[in-house]
Amino acid sequence: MMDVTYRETGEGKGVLAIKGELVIENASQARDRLLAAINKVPNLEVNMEDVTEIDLSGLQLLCSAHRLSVLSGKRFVLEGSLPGCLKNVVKDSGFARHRSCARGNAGCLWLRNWS
Amino acid sequence: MNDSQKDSQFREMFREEAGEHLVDLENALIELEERPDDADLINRAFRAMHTIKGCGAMFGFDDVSRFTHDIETVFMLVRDGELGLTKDLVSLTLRAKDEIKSMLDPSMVPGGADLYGRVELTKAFSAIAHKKTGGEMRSGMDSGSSRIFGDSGEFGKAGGTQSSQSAAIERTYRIRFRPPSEIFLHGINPILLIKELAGFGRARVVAHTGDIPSLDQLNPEECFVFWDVVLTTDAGEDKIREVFLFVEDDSELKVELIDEPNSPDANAGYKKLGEILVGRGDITESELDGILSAGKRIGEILVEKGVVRPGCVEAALAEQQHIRDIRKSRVQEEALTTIRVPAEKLDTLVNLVGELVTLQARLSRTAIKRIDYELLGLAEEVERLVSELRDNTMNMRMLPIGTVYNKFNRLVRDLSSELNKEIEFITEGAATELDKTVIEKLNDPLIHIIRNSIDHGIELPSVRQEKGKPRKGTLLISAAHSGAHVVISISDDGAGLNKEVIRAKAIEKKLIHPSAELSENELFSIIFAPGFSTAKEVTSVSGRGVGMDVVKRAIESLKGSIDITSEDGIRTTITIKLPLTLAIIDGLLVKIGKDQYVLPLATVVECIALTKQEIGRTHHGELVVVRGDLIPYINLRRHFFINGQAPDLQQVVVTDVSGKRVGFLVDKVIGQYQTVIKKLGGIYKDVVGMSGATILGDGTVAVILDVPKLIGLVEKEHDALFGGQSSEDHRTTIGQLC
Repeated sequence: MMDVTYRETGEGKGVLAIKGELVIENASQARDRLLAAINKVPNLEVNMEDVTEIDLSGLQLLCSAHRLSVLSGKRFVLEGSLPGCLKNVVKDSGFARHRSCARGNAGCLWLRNWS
Repeated sequence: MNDSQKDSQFREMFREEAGEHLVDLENALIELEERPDDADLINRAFRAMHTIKGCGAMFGFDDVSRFTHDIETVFMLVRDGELGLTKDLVSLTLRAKDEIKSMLDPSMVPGGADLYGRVELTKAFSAIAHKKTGGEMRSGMDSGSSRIFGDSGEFGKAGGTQSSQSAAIERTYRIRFRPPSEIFLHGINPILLIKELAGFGRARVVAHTGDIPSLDQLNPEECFVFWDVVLTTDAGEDKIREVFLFVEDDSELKVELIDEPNSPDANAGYKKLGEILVGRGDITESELDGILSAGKRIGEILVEKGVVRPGCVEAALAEQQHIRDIRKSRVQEEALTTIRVPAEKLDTLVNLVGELVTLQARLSRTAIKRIDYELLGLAEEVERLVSELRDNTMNMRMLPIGTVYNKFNRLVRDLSSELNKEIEFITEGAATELDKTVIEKLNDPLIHIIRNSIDHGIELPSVRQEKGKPRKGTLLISAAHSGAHVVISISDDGAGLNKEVIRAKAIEKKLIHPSAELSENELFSIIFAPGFSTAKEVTSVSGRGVGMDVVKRAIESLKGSIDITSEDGIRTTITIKLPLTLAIIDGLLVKIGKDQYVLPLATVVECIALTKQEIGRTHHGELVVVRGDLIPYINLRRHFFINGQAPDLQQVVVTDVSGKRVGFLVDKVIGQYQTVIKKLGGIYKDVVGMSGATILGDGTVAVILDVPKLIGLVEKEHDALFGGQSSEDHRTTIGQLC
């Protein structure tokens, strides 16, 4: 089960809250909601606080959404406290980075302390 | 040495090492009973079994290897959280541990190897594993293959050797895994494969995310990620490939060995970033040459020019760092490597050092005699070096008392279970070191004391509750240094000693007269009398009345003392005081008439000159006033019946034994002396007050005085002479002031 809610807080800023399982079964739905949100506002914050499970398809989605935002000159950040399941999967999968993987100076979604 | 001898030597080495692993396994299991979820402990137990299994096959102990495999299988399930660790499983594993011990050396275990028991245990472990995995895992007795346990030849002689070698040596592999893009559709989560792989050892995982398209072009059901993993493991390449068994055909899987301990550059620094990238095939040599000529940081340039993806640089840097860390730790480990030396060689070394000490004393004496200052300088230098050599040699023989403690965990567990008691066993001061010979002889006395504490001391849980005590009794064993001694105390919060029962039993056994008035200490010391036991029943644990007598004699043979204190219904504490070493001690050489004696320097507090007039002032009462305190002394000239006239100025060597100060009157104090202790022959075994002898520089023999015994002897003599009478002077000197 996955639940995605979106709200705009003004000044071009939107908050997308994902709850539940961000896994392959829900990957298409999540992609569509993320794409729609990125297209709506220049500054998107994604709240993952209530994500209970995430797999490689979920990590790919986030990475891909960030990539699109960078290419479009938009801001895409993970906000709020990150759930343990996300931290563990990022560490186990080798997504955690010490240096930016993106070309240019747009930063990297995985460049942070995941402990 | 021929091959057969070498083989035998290696097998013996394995037996020794396996014995240590079994001790570690036993300790981990016993701790696991208290903390069944402790991952470190589970890993410790698993590692011990894994090593025994691997090395067992390597050294030809195939039966050990096969048997251990079944237990290891079950513990792998425990480690992976698939099976809970119950008390029954711990008990079963402890039995299996005993069985392995008997397989290693049947003579070490009463009854020897029990093939029937082994088969039963194997069946029990296989059943547990089978139940949990639905038959996925095979028994070590079977010959079928298994995905989880690698090739079927693992336990065959040749296969076993190969497998064990890889188990013993850690190698580093570079693994690139690129799954097929449709892997999600096959229901496989690649992260789980990576996680399983990383679980084989120390790993650095870098996911390459560069191929992930932007969201508008992403098919979320396709995988765009591939991985570089640098893994240091004792698992072989086959085992690594097995992780990807079900996806290998559609994936790109590259496993390369990049570092191993035996390689020529094993301890050197690792490759530069550019070399790693070329090695990985991420760039060509010519591309590298072109970049190097620019003189900038290579990683940045390569990314800037688009020659290589940032992920590849990240992976190469991770590999570089990983190998450098591995090599660094390998160098450190090698620096810390210890070597095994047979105990006999150390004993020989100690004997040689003893001879050297004697010779050095002779050299010093010759130098003084000839008034040769050059020789005197050399003698002093030799003395310093010999002293350091002595200390270092003695230090080599020191073992932590924890080596003895370890055996007691199992003893306490088994006894408390047998007697239906609940006991918490606490150890303190495990790092306290004692001479090897002392440690070896300490085992049996301590076992006696612990058995007594559990059997007679600590009450049944229901009894304890009735008394308002916690259900669980506490047994504490602690050790600490105290000067040149080690003090070991064994304390239980059990029933304590009942003075009335001890007294009644002592009268019944005719050990004391019914009218005798005994102090608490004297009453408790009856416990150490031969044949004394207050137990109403003789159990298999204790109560035969031989234990404490044997304990006392064993401790005394180690030049130690044993003391007992107790509060009825609350606690009993047995304190053992032992010398640090029995080989060479620092002594104080003294002279009486023509004879020389040694007092252990550790007991000496100070030396005081005493004139004949001062002796006269106390009316030969053998008391000396030291800074206002009256200290009794023993006139050794009189005690040893040495003829001749004492000099006008004599000296009192003041000693401190258990907080009591007693002096020894001698003609002259010669000085400090490194004393190599030689045993007095059997003829002198009944002589009290002498603990040994030493050979002096001039070849003469000096007797080493046993200070506590000598004081005790003089006390008894005085009591016998003046006991119950009014010779106040003598009663005061020894009987009361001591």
